[in-house]
Amino acid sequence: MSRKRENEETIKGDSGRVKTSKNYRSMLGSHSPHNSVMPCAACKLLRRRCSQECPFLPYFPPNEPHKFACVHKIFGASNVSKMLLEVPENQRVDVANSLVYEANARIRDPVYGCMGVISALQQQAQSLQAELNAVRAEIIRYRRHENVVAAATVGATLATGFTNGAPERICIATQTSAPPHYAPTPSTSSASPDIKERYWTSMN
Amino acid sequence: MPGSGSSPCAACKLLRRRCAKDCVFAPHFPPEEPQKFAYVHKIFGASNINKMLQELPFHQRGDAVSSIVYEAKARLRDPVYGCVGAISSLQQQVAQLQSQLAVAQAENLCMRMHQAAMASTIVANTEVSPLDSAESSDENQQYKHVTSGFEPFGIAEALLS
Repeated sequence: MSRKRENEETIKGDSGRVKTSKNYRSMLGSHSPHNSVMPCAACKLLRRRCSQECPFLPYFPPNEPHKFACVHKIFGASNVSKMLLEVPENQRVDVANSLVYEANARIRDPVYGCMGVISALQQQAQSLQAELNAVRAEIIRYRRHENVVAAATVGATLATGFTNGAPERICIATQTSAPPHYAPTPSTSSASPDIKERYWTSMN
Repeated sequence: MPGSGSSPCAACKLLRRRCAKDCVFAPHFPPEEPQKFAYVHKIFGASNINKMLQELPFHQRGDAVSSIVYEAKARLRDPVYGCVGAISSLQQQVAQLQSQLAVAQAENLCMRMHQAAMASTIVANTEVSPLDSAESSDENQQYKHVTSGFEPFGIAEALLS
């Protein structure tokens, strides 16, 4: 009984006239380009007459009642209407969709809402950045090591290549006897910044 | 003290009503911060805020109010996207970082394979000396192929291809 009165009061507040469920069919004024049979989800929920000028009609179709239900729960119909009408028409779809997203986030997480999503994404971005920095540092280390080894190999080849008729054998023998890590020489240390720069350029 | 008889809270002041002792808004919307409630009232409406706060236990209402104020301010700053704009931007950033990380990890893996290939080649040549010719001719052929055209990066590139 009181619920019926509440609905009637809501309807009265909106249109000034009392409507009952019997009058749903008469609610349709001119045919809407989107749906010629059913009122939009907003007017259906609010139990009021839906017209072609209804601000909710393009964004809250009758086949998606949950969309308007969640924004109505969080923002309220009048606030949603105000926010839609404040922006140019070509931006209203985005407004409606972002309001639906925010409302859903708030219903899912009543304490933090969208803030929870933002916080989680920020943490994820930080973690990825740290991991990326670590992998890049490792690549630079490897490249530095490769440059040192390559320079040592070339140097050894040049040094011994003219003293023996089989330079490749000498090359290997020299390489196997060489220590695994060399102290960076000025020539190699000057080479590595160029390579590092080329790497960052290619990565970015 | 909320609603203790001193000035009403910012909510009740804006709504022009008596601020009760058990006013839901009073602990979170002090009278010296009128803008805070004005923002949330404009976007969400006082009754919706009241409902949201009453559905939560008291110790969580402070965080809820902070997040609601943040969302309201974001919506006022950007009437089209609100705080969803920040979410979208962060999602793009995360996707970009993920792809950069994938590329870097692939390159790292290539370099590890390259170094492993080089190391195994050097070890293999050390174990079988081409000067002894004690091994089978096939193995010698294999190593000669490796040694004759020895090139630091050629083996790894062949593996990768």
